[in-house]
Amino acid sequence: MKDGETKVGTWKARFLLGLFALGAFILPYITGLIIEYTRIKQWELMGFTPEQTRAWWRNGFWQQSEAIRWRAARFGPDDAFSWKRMAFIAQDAKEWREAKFDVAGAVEWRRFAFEPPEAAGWKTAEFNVGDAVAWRKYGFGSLEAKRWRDAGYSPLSAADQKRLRGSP
Amino acid sequence: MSLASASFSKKAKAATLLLCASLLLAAPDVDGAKVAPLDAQEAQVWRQHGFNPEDAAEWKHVGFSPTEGRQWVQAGIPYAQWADQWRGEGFSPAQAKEWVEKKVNVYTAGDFRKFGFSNREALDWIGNGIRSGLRAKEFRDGGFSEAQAGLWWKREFFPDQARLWRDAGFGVEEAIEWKYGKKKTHYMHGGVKGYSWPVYSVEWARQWKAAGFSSAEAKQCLHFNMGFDEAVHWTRAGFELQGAFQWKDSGFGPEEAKQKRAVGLTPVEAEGERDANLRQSGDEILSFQSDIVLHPDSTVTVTETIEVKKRPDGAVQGCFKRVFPEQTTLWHSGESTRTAAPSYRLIGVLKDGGPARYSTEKDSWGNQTICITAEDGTLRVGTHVFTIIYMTDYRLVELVDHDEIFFDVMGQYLGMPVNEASATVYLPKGTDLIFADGYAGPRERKYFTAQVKEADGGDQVRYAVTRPLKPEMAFQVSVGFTKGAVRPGLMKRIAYFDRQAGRILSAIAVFMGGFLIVLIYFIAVWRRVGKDPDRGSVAPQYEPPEGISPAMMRYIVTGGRLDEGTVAATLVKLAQCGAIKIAKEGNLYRISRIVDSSAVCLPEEKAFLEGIFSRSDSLVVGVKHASKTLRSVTGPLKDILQQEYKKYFETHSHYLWRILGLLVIAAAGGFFFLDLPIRGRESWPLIVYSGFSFIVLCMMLIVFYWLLKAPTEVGSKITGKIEGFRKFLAVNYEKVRASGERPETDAPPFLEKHLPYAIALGIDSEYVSIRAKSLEWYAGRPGGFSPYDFTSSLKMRRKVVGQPSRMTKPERTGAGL
Repeated sequence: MKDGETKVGTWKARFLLGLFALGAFILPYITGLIIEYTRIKQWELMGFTPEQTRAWWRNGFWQQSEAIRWRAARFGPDDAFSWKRMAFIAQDAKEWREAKFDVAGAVEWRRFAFEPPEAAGWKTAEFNVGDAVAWRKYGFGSLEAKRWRDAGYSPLSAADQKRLRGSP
Repeated sequence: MSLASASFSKKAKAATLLLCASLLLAAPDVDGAKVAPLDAQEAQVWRQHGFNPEDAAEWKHVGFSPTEGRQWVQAGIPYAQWADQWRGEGFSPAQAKEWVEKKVNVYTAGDFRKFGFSNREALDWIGNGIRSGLRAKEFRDGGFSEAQAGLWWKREFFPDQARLWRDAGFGVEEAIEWKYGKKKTHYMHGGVKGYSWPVYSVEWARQWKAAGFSSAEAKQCLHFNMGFDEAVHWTRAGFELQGAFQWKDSGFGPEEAKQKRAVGLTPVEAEGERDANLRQSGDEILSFQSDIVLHPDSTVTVTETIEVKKRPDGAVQGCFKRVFPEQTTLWHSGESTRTAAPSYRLIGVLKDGGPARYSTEKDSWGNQTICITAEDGTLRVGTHVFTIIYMTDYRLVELVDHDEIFFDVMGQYLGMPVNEASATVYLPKGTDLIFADGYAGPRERKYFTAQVKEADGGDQVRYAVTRPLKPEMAFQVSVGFTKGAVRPGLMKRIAYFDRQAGRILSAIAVFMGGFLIVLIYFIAVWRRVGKDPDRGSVAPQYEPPEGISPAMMRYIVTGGRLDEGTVAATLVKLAQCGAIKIAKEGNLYRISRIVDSSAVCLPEEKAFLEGIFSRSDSLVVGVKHASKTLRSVTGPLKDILQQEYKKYFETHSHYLWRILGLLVIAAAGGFFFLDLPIRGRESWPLIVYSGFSFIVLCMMLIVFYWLLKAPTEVGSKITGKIEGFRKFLAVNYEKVRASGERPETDAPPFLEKHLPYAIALGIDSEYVSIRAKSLEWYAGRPGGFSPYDFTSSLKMRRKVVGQPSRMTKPERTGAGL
């Protein structure tokens, strides 16, 4: 500014301001779209359609490798999300689902450190988690516990009797 | 990319997608060949066979007639390209139909055909789960039927393995049982779960199976270190394998054990009878009871009640010793999880229910030993009951789905047998017991019973060892419980890490503590002697400070460094004095002595002059040899400059030595806390600590040296004057350059006079010196003398690869002080 001040026309100033405002929105938006498009193409290489990709993203699976792990365990994005939210990894979730547990049930049994097949055994023997914990505490497996329970014993009395007699 | 942004503007999105679509459309056709449309007549024929013109064109393009196309469509293959693949693999529509109905792809079908399977056979193999022609062939060659092969294949046996196990007489399930050990799960980084299990060979399995052992027995023998021949020997002597282990652990061979058993003795009874005489002569522990209380912060309070029978010639000499090891190994599922370095805090020691006299000492291995006697300092023959209460930590094994406490009840070698041992583990309230496991007896044996009790304060497990323990035998308990109730705090975890890492954190903390003290001392010293005196305002100086040669000025400006600038400034000064002549010959400079006029020079200049012309009266600068000469003759100059420099700057090196001493003491203090790599300890903590302290020490010394160096009163004045002179020269040299559009105008004579100082101060004097065609002391081609070129030609420093030369073109504004 040689002369100390330079006058800009009002309309020109407004136009520049408007252009700047538009650019401030359009540029990040277009950049975002390009990134999204590129990523969708990357996911397509691993067999995800654009709709499926968006569904995985919507459920918080941003890493392709993670989505692949869940998909390999035969989970859809919604299902995977509900298991992942409760801190299950894909393989564990698969094991629990194969043992016929839903997320809530799996969380309950896992809290007491039951493995899926073990929990399934207790469930099949018609024990709830609390009972299973009590019987396990005395060293009983599900089948043995069922025999003692069916014979009318509590875990403590069964443990005493087991020491004396061995079986109900 | 935020999903929210995707819904902002449909138009913008459509535009982008349109752009992308157009790019995709613009891409060349993948197949390369274009499908030619049919003419009307052809289209009519194809229509009669049920094809629309577009499909018909496709079928025709890949070489099918309308009739053939119809056959393929009827076979359930409605696409021309697909039909072409089947045809390419040699299938007719009818043959392909059978495969397609079984949902077999064309390449699998082709694979089976390649290995000589008929359609029917291949479909049978596929129906049994073998979808590879190659594998099916291998199984068939190995004499497996489709059904048999399917069973082996489903259990992940490859054909060659399956044949080996089958030929050794194993069925599929049996082979699985013998081949694999216990499966173990590992959680790996990145949310992946891995499995591992031991694998046993078919030869090993065949041998043990042939001798009548089950896979579990064979694996147990392997685990308990009982060889095949030994196991056979015991079974031939009429022992079940579990009984054989017990007899063996009691120290009996098969024949002896047979005799003892024949008279109705159990292994423990037989052992007791045999050792009765032995026991009479030595000390023994009649009973050892340990109460282990696990607290929510993962610390453990242990109360040991030890009943010792002391005999005259026993091992207990003077006092009863109990050793607390510095390191212990935590185990989980038979595998070592980590080596822990627990801490111990003695709470109380009793003897026979009353106060005891005791002392503690630490051996060179870091183990702590408590030595207990009676009040009078002796330990008489007889039975004594010692009670030791202490607190320890680092016994928690934290796993993904549960936690465990692992505690070595007997601990370090007791040196005497234990008749009865028991332990009770008290879990904190809120935990639920998962399992009670452990080891008692020799090598991973489980000679114990565990009884669980639910109490208001939390679950309890009482262990009772079922056999006497010899001195070398172990008693360790492992209790699993649900996560959540036991959680070490952050400080505990840091302390654990510190101990685990050879107390490197403690060592660094000590060093940093010492460093902090040194820093406080340094700040005090710096405030007293290191602060530069206030120079006040810098007035322009029209002459260089009196008695300051260009070389000295350069030396001061560069903070005590002798470089090409120093030499160049000195040579130009000598030339101006008439002592030498500088001549440019091609790319080289020749410096010749013309007259002995050293009287006009300052002492450092004189010394330099004597140095360079000690052997001959001329020197060619720019030749390797001359550079070497220059480097070798700057010694006397440097000595004088250094001596002079001390008048102007004080390094306060005596303070620096003190600080170095204190830092070394601080670093050495850290070493005292560090677990040194002796007796099996790892060496990395020492290496890391040494590296860390060395780097900190060096860095701090450099910083301290730089900060402590300060000008003296004289030096402060001189630097002020030099700065004033620099400003004066810079302005004037710049002024001449600015008026350089009129080259006919000569530069003021004082600028030529002060050329050595301009070089010393790094002021761009090129314009003046090059224009000065009549320099008496310079003989060269027309165009004058270039200080930059001359300085560069001196090349004082040996050029190191990757290190830029210090000879840079001077800045136009000159170097600051």
